[in-house]
Amino acid sequence: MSANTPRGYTYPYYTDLANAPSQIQDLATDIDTDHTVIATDILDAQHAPSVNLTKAVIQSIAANTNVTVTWNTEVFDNNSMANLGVDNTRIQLQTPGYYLISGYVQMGVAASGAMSVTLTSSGGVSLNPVAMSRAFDNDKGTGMSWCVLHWAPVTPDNVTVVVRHNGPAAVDVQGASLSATKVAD
Amino acid sequence: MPGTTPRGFPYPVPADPADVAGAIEDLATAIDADLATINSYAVPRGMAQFLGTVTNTVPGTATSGLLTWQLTDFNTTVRDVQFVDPATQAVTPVTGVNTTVLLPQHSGFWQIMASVQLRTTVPGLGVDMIGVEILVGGVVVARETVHDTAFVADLTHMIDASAGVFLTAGTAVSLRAQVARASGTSPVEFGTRSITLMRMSKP
Repeated sequence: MSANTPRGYTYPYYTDLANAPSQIQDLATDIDTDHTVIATDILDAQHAPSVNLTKAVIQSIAANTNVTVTWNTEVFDNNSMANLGVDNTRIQLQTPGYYLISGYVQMGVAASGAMSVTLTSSGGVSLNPVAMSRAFDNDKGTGMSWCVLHWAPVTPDNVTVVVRHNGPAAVDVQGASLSATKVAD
Repeated sequence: MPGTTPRGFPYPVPADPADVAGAIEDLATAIDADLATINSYAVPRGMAQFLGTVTNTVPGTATSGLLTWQLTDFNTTVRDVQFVDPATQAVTPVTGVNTTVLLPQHSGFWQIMASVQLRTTVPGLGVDMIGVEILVGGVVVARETVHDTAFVADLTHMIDASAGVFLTAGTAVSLRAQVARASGTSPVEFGTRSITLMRMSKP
C-alpha cells in the first residue's frame, strides 16, 4: 500500500514490500505530470489570448440608431477570436476570464449632435457604455477612445462595438480599432 | 538502462543493477534541472510609465506635434527567459527632456494608455478641435478628440486614448497632439500627461 503527497506524488510506506524500480518510476511519473501542468500554466499565462482588429472602410451610421461597427482587418489574433469571413462585426472571446478591451472610433462631421460608443456582449452585458460622449463639429471629425475591463464567465462570448449619434443626418465611421487581451482567469 | 518519463526523469528498471541511492540521486538531479527550466518561464511582465511635465505647445502655424516625455515613473526589468537572457528594461530609458519616441524592447501584444491634461484655450480663438493620437510605427492606432473648446484658461480638460497592439521590439510608440482651427492662429498648450505601456503577452 502506498501513499501520496498533497500534490499527488506516490511514495511507499516503510512496511511496503521493497520494489525500488517500480516505486521510483511511480514517483518520477507523478512529478513529471505535475511539472508539465505547472509549466503549461506558466507558459499559458505569458501568452494571454489577445486580438486586434482595425477598420479602414467607410461605414455610414444612420442617426438615432444603434449601429454595430464592422471590421476589415485582423491585425493580430492568437486565440481564434476573430473570423471576419464568418462575422465581421465581432470578436469572440474563447476562454473564460477577465479581458481588457480597448479601441477607438473616428467619426466624420455633422452640423450638430453628439456620439456615443457602447459595447455589447452575448454573455449578458448589453450596451455597456465605455466612452465619454462627444459633441460633433461641423467641419472637424470626432474620435472616441476607450479602455474597459470585461468579465466573460462563459464562452464563447461575442463582443461588438455599437455607435450611436443624434446628428441631423448619417455620419461616417472613418476609422476604428478594437482590441482585447485577457488579464486573468 | 534506466527508463525515463516524458520530461526525462530517470527511473530504474528491474534489469538494472540494484542501486537505490544512485537512482534517487539521478532522479533528484533531473527534477532539479527541470524546475530550473520551469522557473525560467516565470518572468516579470514588462511595463513602463512615463510622464510629461514640460508644457508642449502646438504653435498657431501647426496642426499637430509629438508630445515629449521627461520623467520615468516605472520601467520594469524584463528577461524573456529568466536567468538566460540579459535583463533589459521594458522600454528604452527616456533620456533628456525632448524624448518623443518610446521604444519597447520586447516583442509581444502591448496595451498602451495615455492621458493628457490640456492647457485649455480661451473662447473665441478659433480652435474647434483638440485631440491626441497614439502612433505605432507612425500609424494611428487610437485617437480621441474634443470640440469643447470654449474653455477657460486653466488645466481643466482631460483627454485620453487606449490601444492594444502587437509590437515587435524596437517599434516606435509616440503620442501626438492634434489641433484644428476654424480661424486664426492660436497656439494650444498641452500640459501634464502620462503614457503607460504594458506587455500583455509574449509573441
